[in-house]
Amino acid sequence: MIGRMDGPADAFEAFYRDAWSDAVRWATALTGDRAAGEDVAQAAFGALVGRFDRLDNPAGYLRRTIVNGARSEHRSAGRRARREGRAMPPEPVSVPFDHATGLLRAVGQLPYDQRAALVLRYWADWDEDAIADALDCRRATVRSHVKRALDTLRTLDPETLR
Amino acid sequence: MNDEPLLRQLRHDLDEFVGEPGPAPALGTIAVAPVPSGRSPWLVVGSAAATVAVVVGGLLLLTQEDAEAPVAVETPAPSTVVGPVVPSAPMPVPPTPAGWTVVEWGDVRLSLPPDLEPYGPGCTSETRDEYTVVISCDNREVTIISGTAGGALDPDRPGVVRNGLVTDLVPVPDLDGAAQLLVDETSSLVRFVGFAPQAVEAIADTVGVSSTWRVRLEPAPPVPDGWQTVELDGYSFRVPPNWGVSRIGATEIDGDVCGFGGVMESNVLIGRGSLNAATVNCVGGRVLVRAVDGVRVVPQDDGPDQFNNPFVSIVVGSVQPPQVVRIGLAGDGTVGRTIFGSVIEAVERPAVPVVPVMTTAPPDASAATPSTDSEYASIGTVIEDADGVRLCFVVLDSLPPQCGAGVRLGGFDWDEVDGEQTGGGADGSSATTWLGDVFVRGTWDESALTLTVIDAGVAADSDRDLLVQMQAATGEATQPDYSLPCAPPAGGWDRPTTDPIVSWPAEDVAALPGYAGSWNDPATWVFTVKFTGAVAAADASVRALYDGPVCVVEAQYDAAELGAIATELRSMSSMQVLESAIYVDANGEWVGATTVLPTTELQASLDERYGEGTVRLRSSLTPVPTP
Repeated sequence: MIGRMDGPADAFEAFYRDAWSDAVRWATALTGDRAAGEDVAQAAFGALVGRFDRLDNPAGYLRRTIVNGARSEHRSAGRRARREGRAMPPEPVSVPFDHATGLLRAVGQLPYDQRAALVLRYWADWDEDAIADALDCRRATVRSHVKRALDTLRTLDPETLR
Repeated sequence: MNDEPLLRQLRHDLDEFVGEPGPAPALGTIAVAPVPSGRSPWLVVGSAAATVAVVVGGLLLLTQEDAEAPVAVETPAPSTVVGPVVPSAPMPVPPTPAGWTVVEWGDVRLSLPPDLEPYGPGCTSETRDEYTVVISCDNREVTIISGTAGGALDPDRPGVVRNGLVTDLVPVPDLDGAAQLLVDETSSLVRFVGFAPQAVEAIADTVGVSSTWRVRLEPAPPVPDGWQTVELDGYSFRVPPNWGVSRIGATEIDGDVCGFGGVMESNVLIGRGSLNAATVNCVGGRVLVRAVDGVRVVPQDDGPDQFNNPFVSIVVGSVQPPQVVRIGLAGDGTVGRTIFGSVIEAVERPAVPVVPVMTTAPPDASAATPSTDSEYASIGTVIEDADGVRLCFVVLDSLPPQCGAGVRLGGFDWDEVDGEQTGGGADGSSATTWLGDVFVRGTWDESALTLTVIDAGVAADSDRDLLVQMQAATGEATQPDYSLPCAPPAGGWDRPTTDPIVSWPAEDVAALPGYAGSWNDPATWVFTVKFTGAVAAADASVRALYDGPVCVVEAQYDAAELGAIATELRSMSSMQVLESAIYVDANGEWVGATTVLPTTELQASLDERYGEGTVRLRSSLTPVPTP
């Protein structure tokens, strides 16, 4: 059987068009890579399309999926590094932020949850509840992640952040 | 600390880096076709489903719809495929030669011969990172790297099918005599160093996918009657009725210990035997079994529990997407060997968090349950920030401080106190004013959850004394009863022949099976010791360790179970335990826990769960006795 199926419902399409830009921006900032960010955003909409009608909060679902997808990408970066090194003990996994400032490269080396909490709170302007939901943790943990991230960044020589 | 310049630069740099994405790619349609044959497990959709495929930005997406024949889709490399997976048949379980040990790591299953027993003499197993475990015995080494894409096969070499998996055994470049087994389906790699080629072949022939990998893809079997429900972050799991359940908060664990994305915010340890926070030392120790996608099985190093029950801790968290999972329970006291079908069922995360099973209230609940216009007093830190003025009993260590747990204050006047500090607000948010150690007396408005101040001031010793008196008057200050529960033997108690303070073998006694707690009666120097289970056997064990007078009595809970209850209380989302303590006395064994405002419903729920009086809640707001 060869079949041809129609596209998704209008509601999903409208949501998709409206949310696409933010989704890509968030995912790019979390992965430190534009192409990976776009992939993560696409995968997130892919996860969403089949359950869109059943979700009370598709925007929340999208945010969570973006954050989880970027986390997987973060691990993939580690996989690639390890594959090249053939089972050598791992170095801290960082994301690229190629051609970015020193500050962003430092952000890219933060543990994922810290990076996500910092970027989503102070750049993407998510509130703590949204971040806690996406990271599947408590608000206090979000604050703790942000604090640790800032503690780390503060230790860096300002000159290296440019 | 003024971080605003740093944050401003962060916003600027990210704006520059991210830029503005282009418009959303058009949604399209593609053709779908039946499964021909062969493998592609992540693309095979079960017989009860058809596939609707749409293209989003060049990415192939699959979703399930109505019943239809199995279908698969040709995916244009290098696209990623996402979508539900429903296998039509269980994954095969590979053979294990007699006497060999099954090791499951991530998505890999492997059997090792007896002289490679990971916990055996001369052997070590080391967790290198979230993907890698190294098992070393003498001069041989097996490294399992799970799901690293290290298993990508050379397209120019034919794969060898082992137990239904496409594999390839190849030499390790630049390492004489070493070989590595690539597993295509799971993108895994197993490396062998120091083995004869035939030994490598024999081990490679046992390769398979782990039980957790298998069961992720299989429908859940029915849950046996009588299994208990465990709830965690909105998930609901069923586990056997005799398993203990302990909850561990992430804040109690060093985040670096667990790896694999760190410690999850909520962990639940499920197992039979000793349950305590130490067992969450999951990955820092010797972990042989690890599941994927947030479900992890952690073995208990010290073997079976005191009842010789097999022990398995299962850490469950962040299962995304919510799905049915089934975890095996080791049958012989060590996880990672014979896996058989214990069941954990994870159900869809509900939109509204599940109301927890546990809730609590003070011993004399009617006396302490807050009600409108009742007067209460307490001592805490007053914090005023964007959320208003609160009396806080848990203060987060930051500058400015944040209120971790507290009640709203009405009518509080900063002019009534001295020494307050103000900080924050540099980033445009409102400033915070705070002062620690403030005594507040007020009326409680339950509808507004607000304590309206009658008087307040920096706490003096007299205020603390007053609080103690009030607690005593309302029955809140339940004191343990350390009297001697045994009647004296004929002729009275013997006097100890040695100094009991020195000779009492406290640690050895506490290590005996079923130990709950002990105390000493200063009048007679008799040690009372409480045990669960057979008292006569415990009595003999204690007397074998100590020749002075003892009184051995039965307990309902042992120390580990009480610890598990205390831990569980601390991680409950329905209440915030500010402090807790375990008591074993002549009247029983119980956990005292202080919360902001316990209710009768909460106490009743805890009584139902743990038995009446096992958990005794105290309020951080002390009722002021009516004159």
